[in-house]
Amino acid sequence: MRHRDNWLAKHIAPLKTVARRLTLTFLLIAAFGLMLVGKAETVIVENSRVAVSDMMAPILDVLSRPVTFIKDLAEEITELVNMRQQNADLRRENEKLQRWRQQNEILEAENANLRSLLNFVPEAAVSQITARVIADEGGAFLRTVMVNTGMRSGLRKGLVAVAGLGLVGRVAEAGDRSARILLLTDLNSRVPVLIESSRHRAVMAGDNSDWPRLVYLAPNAIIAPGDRVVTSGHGGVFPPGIPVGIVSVAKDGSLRVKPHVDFTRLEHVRILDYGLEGMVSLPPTGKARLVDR
Amino acid sequence: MNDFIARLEILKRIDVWARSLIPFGIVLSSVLISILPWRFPDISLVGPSWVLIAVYYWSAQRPDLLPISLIFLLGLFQDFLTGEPLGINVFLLVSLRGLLGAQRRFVIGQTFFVEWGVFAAVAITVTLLEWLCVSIMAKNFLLISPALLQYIITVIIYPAIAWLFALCLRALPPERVWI
Repeated sequence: MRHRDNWLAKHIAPLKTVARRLTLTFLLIAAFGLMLVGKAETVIVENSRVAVSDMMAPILDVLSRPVTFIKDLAEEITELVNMRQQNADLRRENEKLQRWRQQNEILEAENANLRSLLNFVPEAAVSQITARVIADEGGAFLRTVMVNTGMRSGLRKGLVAVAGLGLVGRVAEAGDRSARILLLTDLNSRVPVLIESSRHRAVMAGDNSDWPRLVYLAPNAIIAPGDRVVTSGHGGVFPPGIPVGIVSVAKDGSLRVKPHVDFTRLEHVRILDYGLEGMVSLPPTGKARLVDR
Repeated sequence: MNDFIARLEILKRIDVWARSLIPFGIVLSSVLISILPWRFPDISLVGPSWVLIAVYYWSAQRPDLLPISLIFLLGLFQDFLTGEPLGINVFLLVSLRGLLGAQRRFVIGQTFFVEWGVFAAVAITVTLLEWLCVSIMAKNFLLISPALLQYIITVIIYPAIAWLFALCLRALPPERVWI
């Protein structure tokens, strides 16, 4: 018996090592194969991704609730601590806003007057859907979030997502009950924008950092940190005039946009449907599917 | 009486079978946990790589219960769920297992610091590999700092997670040694 064990150890063990190495090599090759298939952007890959997301959406929906609760609780505690200071700030801000409001009312009346003089065609009504963020890829190379509703409530690829004061991104993939939103900070995100005061055009390009870069800005553009940036509507994916952020200068001296939206506090997003059909072929999500520069 | 013993035997087998699914269950949960909306305001945009910790720990401790083919499937699931380029997590997790394969005997039965050190070494390799793959796919060198930050957080949090996993390790059926 002992002799037999020794025999086994002598002959089978090396075979097992060989088998293990072969399996490893085979699986690594298979992984490379998958990468090539993924790179080819086939419909099957996108459909499988949507199917898996749809399948997991209800589970993620439930799992994300306690996480959101903890986040809210933490936020409330900080708010309680800062309440006095916040109150003073709000009072000051309120005064300022009151003044703005008066001015706004005057401008609005004037605007309506001028529009009626020009026979201006009003833009189509916007329909909106509010969705809850249930997953956040959160990795080092991808800036997307998943929301808990999809085509069943009218979402479709290419719609615009906003939250609070500003642009969040656009719907990159829509399943039946889940959708993936490509954030404007993602590497693949390109948003045509305008510098609000000077009306200079630029493209806001995400690079996975918190502040997207401003590229293709005219050399003679007048631009200063603090200028407001809004979508320009060129290209027909994003409607014009959605606030995006403010111009800031990064440490390395490059011009960047500090988004109005705080992506760490993203709990709900509003998906706006302007009925735009301008996008012919949208690049799908994913860090690999980049863009030639 | 015989019938009773037979039934007991079946229950025992189900019990062993269920307990041997623990490592798989943990890795699967870690995939889900890592994509929950964790980003805490003002703290960090990246969280630790839970999947890396789970796959490393169970590959080191009980590779028999987390075969490489299962790791392949878990990576594929992660790719589909996160919307990352297809194959990237498959490649990284299988490589992690491959990298560990050679070092495993140094990890087993050693002090915790050795286990932690090997994890740090394997994890930095996987992190750099990920950065390289993604950069090649994007045809552009991407910002590496978020990946390094994620790596540091992952290594720092490893002891706490490993301690939790060690509690589960005790509940597992003994490893079957063939030779």
